[in-house]
Amino acid sequence: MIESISGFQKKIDQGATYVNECEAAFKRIEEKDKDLNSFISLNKEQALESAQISDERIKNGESKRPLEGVLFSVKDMFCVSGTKTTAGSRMLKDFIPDYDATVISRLKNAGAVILGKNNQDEFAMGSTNETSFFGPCKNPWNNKFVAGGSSGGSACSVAARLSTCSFGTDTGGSVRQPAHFCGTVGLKPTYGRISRSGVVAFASSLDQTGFFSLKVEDVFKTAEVLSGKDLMDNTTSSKEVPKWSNNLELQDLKGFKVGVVKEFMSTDLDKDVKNALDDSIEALKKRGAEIIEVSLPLIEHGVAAYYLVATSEAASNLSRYDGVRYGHRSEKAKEGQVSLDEFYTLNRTEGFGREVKRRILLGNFALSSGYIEAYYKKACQIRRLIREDYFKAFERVDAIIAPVASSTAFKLHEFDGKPLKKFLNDYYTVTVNLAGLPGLSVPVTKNKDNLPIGIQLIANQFQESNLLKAGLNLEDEFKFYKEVPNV
Amino acid sequence: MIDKKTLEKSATLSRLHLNEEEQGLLLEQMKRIIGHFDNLQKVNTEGVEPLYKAVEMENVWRKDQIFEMTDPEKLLSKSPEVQEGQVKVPQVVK
Repeated sequence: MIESISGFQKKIDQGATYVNECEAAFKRIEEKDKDLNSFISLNKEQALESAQISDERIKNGESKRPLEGVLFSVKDMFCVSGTKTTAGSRMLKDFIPDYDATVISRLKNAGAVILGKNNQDEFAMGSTNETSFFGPCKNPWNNKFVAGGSSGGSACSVAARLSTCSFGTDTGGSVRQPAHFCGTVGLKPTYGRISRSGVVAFASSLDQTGFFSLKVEDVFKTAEVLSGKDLMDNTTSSKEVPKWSNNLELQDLKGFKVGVVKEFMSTDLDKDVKNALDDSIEALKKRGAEIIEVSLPLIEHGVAAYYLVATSEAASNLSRYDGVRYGHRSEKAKEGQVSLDEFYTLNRTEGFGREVKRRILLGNFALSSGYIEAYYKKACQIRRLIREDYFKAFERVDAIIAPVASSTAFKLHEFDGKPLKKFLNDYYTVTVNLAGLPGLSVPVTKNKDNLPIGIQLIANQFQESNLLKAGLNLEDEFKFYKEVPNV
Repeated sequence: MIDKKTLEKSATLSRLHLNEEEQGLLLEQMKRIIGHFDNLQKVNTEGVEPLYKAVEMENVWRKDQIFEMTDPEKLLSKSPEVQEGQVKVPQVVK
């Protein structure tokens, strides 16, 4: 059974070996993951080699690195040298990079073991993991429901105790929402906090690496190791990374101000989610927090502004996939039979799935002459106004408490053929990305279908420490990590 | 608003081929989605500077240094077809 980082390290101190733990994890994955489908590929050889190095270091009396031997899995968006990196797409189904993403090399340097690559929505476009070329990842608490998305596999594998921690990416909620659906903690740090070099790009002004684990302290231990300036990614901030690992003690919330968003409280929330939110607000109040109402007047336009920005950037980013230097090349594109444009079109039409095509088409529509002013530029103007509203709110509060989504996990196929309805479900998460803010999803309870409910905490840019402080209190109140799904 | 002609134009720009069935379905879905986007017109944004990056950033300078990235052979091995150290594509110029 996989537990927290500290639980794992205790086990090692009591005589377990890293190699045995790693082998046990693979055995468990092979047993349990057939139905869940949380992994696209396993990284057995490299993982065991790395576990062996950890064992040797201990034998030789060397000091433990921060994540020594800890069993990680990573979303298939992250380039791991010598390992298939598919982004959940047919386009990249055989792509094997020769280099590590910066966060992967930092993870390896910290001593972690990478078990394999997690399932995800194709190019991180989706909120159900159903757009994956490799089939949907199921919810570990109830397999008639989805794991969420786009980082569904990463959330599922942690919830099912297949890996201790995992990597996801969060462009509009893709870490926080699957964490909520699967009952794990999910952290999306501030935009620019963590390098994205070597991570498959979706929407460059919104994408951020994030983490899953069962305990709040573990996403922060992970984030601390991976954050900070990277010369390979000019969007990374040179701001100092706080020593979160020295501040993992529970502190009460006296003097801590928590904002409740007026507009979120009057929306159509599922009854169980609303109750969980009310209970969480009560819990923070009980622990000394002052609850203050704040307003985000333009929030109703968040989904539209987000999808215009995200699809426009995606259309540009994904124009690189033409089947020339790498990626899917159509069998129909035989020598001398097609023009260059037809060649690209064949490769792309076969290589991309339906959701990705829809978003590329939307993006190129929003960027095309005659429409760019009315759509893309307008969305960017509203993006500024939404960010201003958040900044105003954070003049008065240390963190905001909010739902992650209006409901618990969706049924498989619930949104087939209803893309707008699916987009609208991202209401509570997307504006956090538009404003570049950090967000944390903490699981608090389950509903009658055995489906978890998480609560979202949002802080101002680079104020992740506030999420840690409030998150530890929510976790201590509800202790959801004690609940184990029957997989 | 999007119609058959604008969808076709977007498909050409996107280098994507849509068959008739896909075209019909997508047109209907995109009409709904763009209809929702149109709500943004209700917001007065006169004089508001568009925001392209949410976190303020400074220009970054670094030394112009040469360093080894990766083996060209390895890079070429990703290509669907290679000939004499070059990526091979179908003949596109007569």
